[in-house]
Amino acid sequence: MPSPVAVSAVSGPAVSGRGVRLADVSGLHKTVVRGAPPTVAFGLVERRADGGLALGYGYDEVLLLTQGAPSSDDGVDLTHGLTALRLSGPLATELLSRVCALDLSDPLTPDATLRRCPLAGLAVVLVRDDVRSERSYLLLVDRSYGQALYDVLLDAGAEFGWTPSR
Amino acid sequence: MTRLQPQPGEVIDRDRPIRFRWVGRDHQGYAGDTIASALAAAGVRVFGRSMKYHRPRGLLSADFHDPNCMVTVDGEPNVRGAHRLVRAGMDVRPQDTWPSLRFDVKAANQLVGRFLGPGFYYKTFMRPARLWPAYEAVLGRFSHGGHAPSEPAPERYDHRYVHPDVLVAGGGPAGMAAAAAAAGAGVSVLLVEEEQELGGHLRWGGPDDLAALRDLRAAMAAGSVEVLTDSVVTGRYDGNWVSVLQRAGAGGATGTVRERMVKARAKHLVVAAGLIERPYVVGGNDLPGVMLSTAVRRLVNLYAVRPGDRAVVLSANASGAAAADDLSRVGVDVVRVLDARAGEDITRIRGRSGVQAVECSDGTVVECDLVVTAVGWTAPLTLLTLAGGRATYRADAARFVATGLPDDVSAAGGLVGDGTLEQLIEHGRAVGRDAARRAMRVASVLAAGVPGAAVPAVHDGHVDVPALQPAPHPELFLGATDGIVDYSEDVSAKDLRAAVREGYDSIELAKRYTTATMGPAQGKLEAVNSIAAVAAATGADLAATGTTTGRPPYVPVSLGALAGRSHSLLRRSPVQGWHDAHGAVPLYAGAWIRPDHYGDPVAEVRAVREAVGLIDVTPLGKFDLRGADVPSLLELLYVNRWRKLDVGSVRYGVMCAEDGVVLDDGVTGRLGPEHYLMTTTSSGADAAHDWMERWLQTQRRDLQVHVTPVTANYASINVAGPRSRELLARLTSLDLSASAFGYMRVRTGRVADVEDCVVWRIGFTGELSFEVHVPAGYGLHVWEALLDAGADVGVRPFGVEAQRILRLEKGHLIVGQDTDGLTQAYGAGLGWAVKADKPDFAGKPELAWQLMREDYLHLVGLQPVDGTAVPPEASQIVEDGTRIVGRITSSRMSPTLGRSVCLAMVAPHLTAAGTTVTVRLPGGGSLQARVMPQHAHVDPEGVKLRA
Amino acid sequence: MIVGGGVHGLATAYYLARNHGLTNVAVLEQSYLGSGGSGRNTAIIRSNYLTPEGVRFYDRSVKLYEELSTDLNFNVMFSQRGHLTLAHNDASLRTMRWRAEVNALQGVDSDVIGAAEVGRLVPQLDLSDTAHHPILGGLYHPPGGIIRHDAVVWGYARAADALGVHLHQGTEVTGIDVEGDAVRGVQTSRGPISTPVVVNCTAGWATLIADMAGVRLPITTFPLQAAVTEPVRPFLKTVVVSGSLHVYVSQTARGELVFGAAVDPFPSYSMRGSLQFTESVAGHVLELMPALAPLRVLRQWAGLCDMTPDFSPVMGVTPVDGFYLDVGWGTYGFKAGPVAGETMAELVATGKTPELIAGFDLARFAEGRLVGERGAAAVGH
Repeated sequence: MPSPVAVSAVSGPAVSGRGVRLADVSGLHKTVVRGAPPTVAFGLVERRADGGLALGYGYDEVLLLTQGAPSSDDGVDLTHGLTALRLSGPLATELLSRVCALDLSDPLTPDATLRRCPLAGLAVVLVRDDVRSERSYLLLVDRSYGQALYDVLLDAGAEFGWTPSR
Repeated sequence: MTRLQPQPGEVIDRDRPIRFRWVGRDHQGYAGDTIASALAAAGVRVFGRSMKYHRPRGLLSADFHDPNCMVTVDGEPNVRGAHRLVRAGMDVRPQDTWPSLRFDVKAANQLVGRFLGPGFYYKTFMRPARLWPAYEAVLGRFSHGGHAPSEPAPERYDHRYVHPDVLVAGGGPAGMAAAAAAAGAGVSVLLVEEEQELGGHLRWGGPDDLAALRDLRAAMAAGSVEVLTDSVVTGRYDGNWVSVLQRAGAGGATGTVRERMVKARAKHLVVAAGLIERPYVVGGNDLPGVMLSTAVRRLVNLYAVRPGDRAVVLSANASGAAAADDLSRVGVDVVRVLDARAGEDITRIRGRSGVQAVECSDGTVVECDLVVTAVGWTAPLTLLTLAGGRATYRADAARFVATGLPDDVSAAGGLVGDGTLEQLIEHGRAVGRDAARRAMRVASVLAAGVPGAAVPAVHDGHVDVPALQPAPHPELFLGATDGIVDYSEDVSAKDLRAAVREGYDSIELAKRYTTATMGPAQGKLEAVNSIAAVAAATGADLAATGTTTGRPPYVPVSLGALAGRSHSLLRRSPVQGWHDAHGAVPLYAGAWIRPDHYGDPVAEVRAVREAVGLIDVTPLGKFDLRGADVPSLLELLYVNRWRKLDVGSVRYGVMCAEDGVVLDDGVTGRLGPEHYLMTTTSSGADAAHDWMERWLQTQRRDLQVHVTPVTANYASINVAGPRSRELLARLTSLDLSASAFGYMRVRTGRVADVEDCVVWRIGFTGELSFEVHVPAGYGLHVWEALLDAGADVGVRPFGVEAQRILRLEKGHLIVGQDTDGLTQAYGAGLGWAVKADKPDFAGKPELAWQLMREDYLHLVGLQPVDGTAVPPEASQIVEDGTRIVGRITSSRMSPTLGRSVCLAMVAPHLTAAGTTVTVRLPGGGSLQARVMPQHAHVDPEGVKLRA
Repeated sequence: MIVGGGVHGLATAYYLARNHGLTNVAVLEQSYLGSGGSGRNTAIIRSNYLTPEGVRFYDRSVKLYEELSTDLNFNVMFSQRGHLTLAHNDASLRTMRWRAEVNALQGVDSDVIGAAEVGRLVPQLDLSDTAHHPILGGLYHPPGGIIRHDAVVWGYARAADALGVHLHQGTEVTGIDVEGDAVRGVQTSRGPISTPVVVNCTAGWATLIADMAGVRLPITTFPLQAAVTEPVRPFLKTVVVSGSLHVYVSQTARGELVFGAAVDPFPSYSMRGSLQFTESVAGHVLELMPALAPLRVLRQWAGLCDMTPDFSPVMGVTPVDGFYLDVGWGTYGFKAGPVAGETMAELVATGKTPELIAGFDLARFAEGRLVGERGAAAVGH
């Protein structure tokens, strides 16, 4: 019997439009580590040696995002509990300004910062994680709202003209 | 009125004619024309009729706020005809003019005008009372709006958030100068202008004005100012929200965004809204042909429209003089210019369907078809008062001004005072530089509080803003005869005087009684004249009379723009796609979509009682609790005891609020020494999370507990029925035998090849059942694996409806259905769970008090004597015909027993088993029902559960 | 001395004079008559409440409203066009059935109707299956309707004035003199007045006045917002409420649509509106009636609601002799104006608490006798 494959909450394809790309990266491993004071301060993001991210997720919480399970056993595994979408491109901030009230400009939300905010009514963790100098955001939401978040971003970016990415 | 030769500042493009329809007839205008200017050029003088008296009305201000030019365009009601540009194929109709604009039956109102004084409807239409609906229908005809659309239109609306350093409201000379200066100082600037083009009054000015306009526009284009035209700042709200309604150019690539609300958090707001010209209140002032000087200048200079042939001008300021000049320049016969500063005045304006003559104060009567007034200016202060400023009256300038602005708001240009064009521009520039400086300081403060933000350096310079005072101006509000004060509401000076005489002697009462200033312009053209009329009637001055409160929105905003995009934000289980594909009838439970049933809930119930069923209970609230103090937290939140719960055990808990009211219930299992999994109801999950965190973060910060919501982290599947063990055993190596895995025990292990599943034995349905919590990504896999593996044992999915029936047969209550907002634990029959000897827990004192009282309702099992009758839920239980002594909370036909079963709340004297109660049925009639010894109707001993 | 010149204060004064011949009565109003909740509410009248005490009480008010124009010789324009509360899930339907049954047992006309009949009453509603909040039915209450709220205030004021009551606008009460557990007088912005009786009819300001007499109230003041659109031709014949969507809408005789929702989530004395409110209300209205997107909001404002733990008022005596309460009116005060005035007048004049309001006493909180009306009062004024 083949090993079961974990399925994402999002049933739409990766898409790209003029100046933006949207992809589902929910397969990322997610672990919440609690402890005060947290190893990463709230609102900041640390890039790990293994290529993952340590997110200052709360006042005593750090969320680790890694490709595989992290070495340590500490923490609560939320891999299945959060949907993660990556929104990249020079117009990513423009798209987000349709649905997010936060000031996402460089001075206030620079690379490697995290914000928790409502996005079209959904409670979202927004991580600015530029990749090779290109503007990029990770958006995390409760898994049960994963499809809703994807739909919201597709709708907000309709004017950029989405087509499925290869 | 006719079209003139090309004018230097005209905005129409004569190479692009545009055809449209007005009152069903074809007309032609040009690109750039407004509906009103195109019609005026074609000779139309009457655009509508007044609300109460149905008097003919023509252009007054010829701008957005013109009260006489509300039209319906392609079915859209209440369009401002003097602002909306013509578009090819437009169908434009006047509003409220049955049967036609020219001949209006309701104009007969004018003849009985004497009896239609202010608030006439308060004094009549009272008897006989039964005719009120008919009277109401008549009054409805006095409504002046267009028709609401009956079908949704395909156009969309959306929102956008912006964070400019400086937001400038108003794109006239001062506004443009402020925007350019702020941008020059290095900050981001958003400039909002309500007309279709920048320029304000420069646009209809003379050659100097037009030259200055060109320079200012060039500065805008060259700089980095973001400009929104045909857009209005509609309010400044608490929380520093500045809302901007963007009308034109809102269309995205698809072009279907009709309007957009731009929500701005500006660090500094500059209001450069200019001035609004005020009409003169004198007899006949609402006749077609009476216009403000700015209206004349707009028509002539922007649209090349000749507003009349023979004009009389009443002028108290430069605008009046300029209007007279413009008219003369284009060949209108300006027969008389009355200098209001020298005391010359219009006594009355005469005419029937339009201006015919003017009676002057010197006794002469002058024939004319156009009367132009320039009697003063009103500063539109609403945005400033919304921001915290106060309106103060300056009698020397005949104008209210704003004082006491907060640090992050300033005013520039004509809104503040008068001066030459250079002075206005210089004022704008200084305010803009100052705004930039203040914005940078705010940016610094803001950034200091934000993790990771770059804190900009602050240059603490000082900017000198020159003083700008309002120029002296005579107070010219009310003329020698009574005229219309509020054109939209058809309120005259006489009406306001009568209101004061009747006792409505403050501006607030007079406003509400006459409805003056309550129309679409919300006082922009009429507030000051209303105040003057009330002041005159009470003998007070304008300062003492004061103003009414300005409220947002500054201009009306469509519901569509306010709502923006609509998103249906549904929470979905990983198995929901399967449910959708297999005939599930959806149930919307809070934010979740769930299967109510799959076509036959009764068959689903039978499957669970006789074989095995699967239900997707993923929405169940689930919380991962870790830490040494978890038992203490549980003992605090629940009425039960938890300290002795050992690893591998599960317990049912009842949560009460501090008033003893049942808040939530659910089971909690101990997975490890310091690791628990807590469940709550699905609808109560968020509230329970709040409740827990509130205790942990405020009153009990000593407790070492970490709570992580894992509701969506697990797909939860309940496998229920006598063959559930048999089925589940096929997919797991966990020992599910009765001796190894008892009732209310929990294990973790592999199910259907998925690691780390949590399995516990509980029983909401009353059957042998195992609840499997699967890491959500594998939820669908496990669901399908169970269905595949159980085909031969008769497995079937069951939905929420079947679960409701099953739990009711077992007498299990649902918090919020069998309990209400006042049901305390003992009333719900949950006293057995309350461990009153615990030192402290939420609700303890109230519950102790409840125990001392006898007066509360009790939850009991109930069976109608006639087993075929199923009383509707919420049917009332009565004594002596009408006295209510309880109600049915849950009620169903039980497929297992073949008879109806209920839960009910009853008064204490009715709780004894065997008591017969009377249930009143909706619609009349009643039935008898018997109180049962326990809540459970099926298998009351719980034998099947513990198999 | 009646503190508060809104519908409650003025009605109390009127009935004191009219029913009990007491005219040595003054009403003290800090601003202009009706400047508080009476001038800010959305003018909905109904009696389809949840408890028998509540239903009897509000039904008496509806009956008084039906005769009020004739009584006061002032047209209050009570339009009994019907009040409809929509049910979007079966929990709501159950609560509606509960209310309908309790109403019927008190002789008040209410019934649960199905989706088809809802569609006939309000054709503009979106009854399609694709709606996220499908309309399963509703609670229909024919005697409910709307009224011209200012007219009620003015009608009572004029009638009370004609009977000899003194009305003082622009007079703020700044203190209450209590000696030996009894009222001796009040301090005002225009000077002191000696009196043995003070009736607190100040709603949103109730606790501030009660504090002056040393009486503590389990009341917190929250803003309640409302908005109005530009007028359009009358098309909405029924008052429509949706509890799940937290919105209600009616159309005045002038043609404006009037919207309201639930109270603000934070206590405050601010009477300003918020942007969030209009966005939220607009979104919900369009969910119900999507065709209305082009209609424009003209004005928004807020009033103050004195909220009690059980969503029922606090009426009657206090431990301070001569200090009476007519407060705790939350979001349901205007519809109760006439009955509150009538019963408070009876209490003050005779010293006996009328049976109709006996359950609303201040003592009930200490004695655990709450009158729970949240299910019927929370949204849907």
